[in-house]
Amino acid sequence: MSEAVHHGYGIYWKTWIWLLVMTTLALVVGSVDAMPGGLKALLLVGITLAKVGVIGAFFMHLRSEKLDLVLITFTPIILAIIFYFFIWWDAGDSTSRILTLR
Amino acid sequence: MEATIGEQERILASPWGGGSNPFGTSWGKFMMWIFIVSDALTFVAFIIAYGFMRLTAPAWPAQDEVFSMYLITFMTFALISSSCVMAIAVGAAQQGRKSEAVKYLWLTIIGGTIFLGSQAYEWYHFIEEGARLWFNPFMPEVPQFTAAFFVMTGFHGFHVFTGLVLLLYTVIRAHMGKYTGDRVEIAGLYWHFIDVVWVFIFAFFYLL
Repeated sequence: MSEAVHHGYGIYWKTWIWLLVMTTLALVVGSVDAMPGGLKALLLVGITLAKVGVIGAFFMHLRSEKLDLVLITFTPIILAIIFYFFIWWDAGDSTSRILTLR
Repeated sequence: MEATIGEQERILASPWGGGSNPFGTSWGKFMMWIFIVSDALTFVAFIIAYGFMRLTAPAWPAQDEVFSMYLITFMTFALISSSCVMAIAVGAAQQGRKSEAVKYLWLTIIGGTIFLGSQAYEWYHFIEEGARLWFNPFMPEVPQFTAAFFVMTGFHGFHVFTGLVLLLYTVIRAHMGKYTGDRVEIAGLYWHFIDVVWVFIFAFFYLL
């Protein structure tokens, strides 16, 4: 029983280690000034999505939930991100304009 | 009438029909997931708005000159660690190990309190240096910087505070013996969501 329990928690400690490794990686990427902005953004987005995937799969147990739950969780968020970019050409600078007009 | 019910049963039995428990979760857990999705959409809006502001701003202050990156890293460490012990608390609660669950819940609360305290410290110094929602003392022509900072970290900080209240409620109920693994897991889902939001703010606001 005790062994089974420790085995059950081991996955969380491993996840924690991986999250710390990825956080360190993100810090390193963020601190390199010589890196082109586009590459830096791409790497940071990649690391962030990997971290979120790990937290979702292991801490929030999405890997053992039904696929239906995973789909209704991520679909609205992905669609929202796509839809927001549709307004970029019309309203991309509106937030900045409101602030600088003041 | 008979035919109608038969038709309904045929639809419910299909893979996308649902049946009595389409998502295989308790109603409480499912409602928490629905809440998390809606709350995530709020933060998506903040982060996209921040991205738009960042792309249209004439310049942007160097974050490591404005903030202490040591403090930010420490805060990130505290929140990720609290998320890890929260996951263990959920595991313990689901196995019916109450004392262990309570211990790890308290550790989660300590981690969250450290994060919130550090954030209060950060805000205090930032405001003392002259930063306001509409004014950026480090680069006055870019008020977007402080506006994004206060709105994003403010909303996130308030979520951490709410999460701490929820965790305190859960741990007090656990001390009273009125707890179930499912309830602890629901509180845990919210706590991990707060961690997820911070991962985005950490990468896009502080590092990029």
